[in-house]
Amino acid sequence: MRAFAEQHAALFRRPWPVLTAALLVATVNVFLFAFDRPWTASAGMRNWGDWMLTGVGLVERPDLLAPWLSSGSLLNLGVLAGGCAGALLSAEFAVRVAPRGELVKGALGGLLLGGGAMLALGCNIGGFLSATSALSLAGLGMMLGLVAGAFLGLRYLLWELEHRPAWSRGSARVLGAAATDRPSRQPLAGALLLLGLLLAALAYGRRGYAPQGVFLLFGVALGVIFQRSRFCLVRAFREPFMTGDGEHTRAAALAVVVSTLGFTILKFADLKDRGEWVFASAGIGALAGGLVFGVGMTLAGGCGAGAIWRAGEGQVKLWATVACFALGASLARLVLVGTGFQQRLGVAVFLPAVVGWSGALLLVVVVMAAWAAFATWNEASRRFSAL
Amino acid sequence: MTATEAPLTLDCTGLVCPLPVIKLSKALRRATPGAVVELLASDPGTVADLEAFERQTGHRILERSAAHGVFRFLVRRAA
Repeated sequence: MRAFAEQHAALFRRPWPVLTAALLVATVNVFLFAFDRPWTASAGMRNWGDWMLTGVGLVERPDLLAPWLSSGSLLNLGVLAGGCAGALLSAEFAVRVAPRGELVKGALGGLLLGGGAMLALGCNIGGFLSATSALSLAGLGMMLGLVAGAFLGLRYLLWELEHRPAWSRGSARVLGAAATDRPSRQPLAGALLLLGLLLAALAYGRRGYAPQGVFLLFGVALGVIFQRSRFCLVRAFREPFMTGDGEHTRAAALAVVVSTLGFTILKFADLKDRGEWVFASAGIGALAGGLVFGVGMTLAGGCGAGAIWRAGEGQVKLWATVACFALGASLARLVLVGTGFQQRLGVAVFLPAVVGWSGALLLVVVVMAAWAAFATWNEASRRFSAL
Repeated sequence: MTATEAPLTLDCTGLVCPLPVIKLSKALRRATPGAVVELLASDPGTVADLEAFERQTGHRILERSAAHGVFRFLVRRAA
């Protein structure tokens, strides 16, 4: 029994190691691509936003898939439920009410996430992690934008704390937290939630929607991994400029490399189409989209993945972010299509078509190694750290 | 000063990462060397954030506890 208790503690009492989480996220992303399509949050967000706009009569979309059938929406619902289940299983769930200033930053950040993701044709997950893995030049372009955006977002937060301290005044209520003086019922609720999600996936299968059930479970797995490890792509981009800690930057670089190896195998062996997830945003779209998204994720305190699983663990600020991310994505797409700018975001560049398979792989590995090396050097020298 | 006497309390409940750490850093910068600041936060991410902050800056976490979803830290400014 002691061995089981130790394993239970490793899973639900202590946070999972960040590097382990990065490897798991990359592996799940490769499985997901092998199954159907890579991971992204923005497709599901736009599905939700389109439903909001349809609800108020702003758009008419007879072709719009229901949220319980769209693969992107199901992935997001899974991440949300997985974040909630992970928090419950470790008795960390609580509704953390946000003060007004935080709600405003969460909502504004969400709008920027939506706009940035539409410019780059993907959020930091779909447009950076998955696009880079798919050997699309746009992925590396968005990375440049994300670095600049995270830096600018952090500079803004530092300015706000100095000159408008009232906008980020703390003191808020925490509701429904686990009691510390007696055993909590949260882990039981978490186990029941996981069981319910599994039954939902089986129900999808019985009604002839097996892929939809599988998408939901992929999302749940990602939500649990992120919640238990708190592996964070916002930290990966922001932290070198803040405390200088490089752990999440190294983990993110590792995730991109492992995911890229998996995607490359799938494409090289012709198991997947080579043009998949290579979108026409290499250019102003990826750069500006990354910049806008980078500012948004720093203001919100969560990216395409982090906003959703943190909403699931009860952080009210991120509820505002998720709602505005969805709305911002749909509105931005309307504007981009309406103005014709959608056609001018950039070009689709499949790196192996330009520099060969080995050249493309080498490029991604060298860029990620350089990013991790920069974070490690800066961790010791603190040359770029503000705190 | 003993570890349990905190002259300054930063209530960061409701604030999401990275605000608690930035506010703590600002408060410590204005404090005298060796001074202790008490931080209250509700974002579970603050735990890992503060550990990274301690590693990077040399400020010391003297005490930590959690009750009813609120994390409490006592942090001493580096000399």
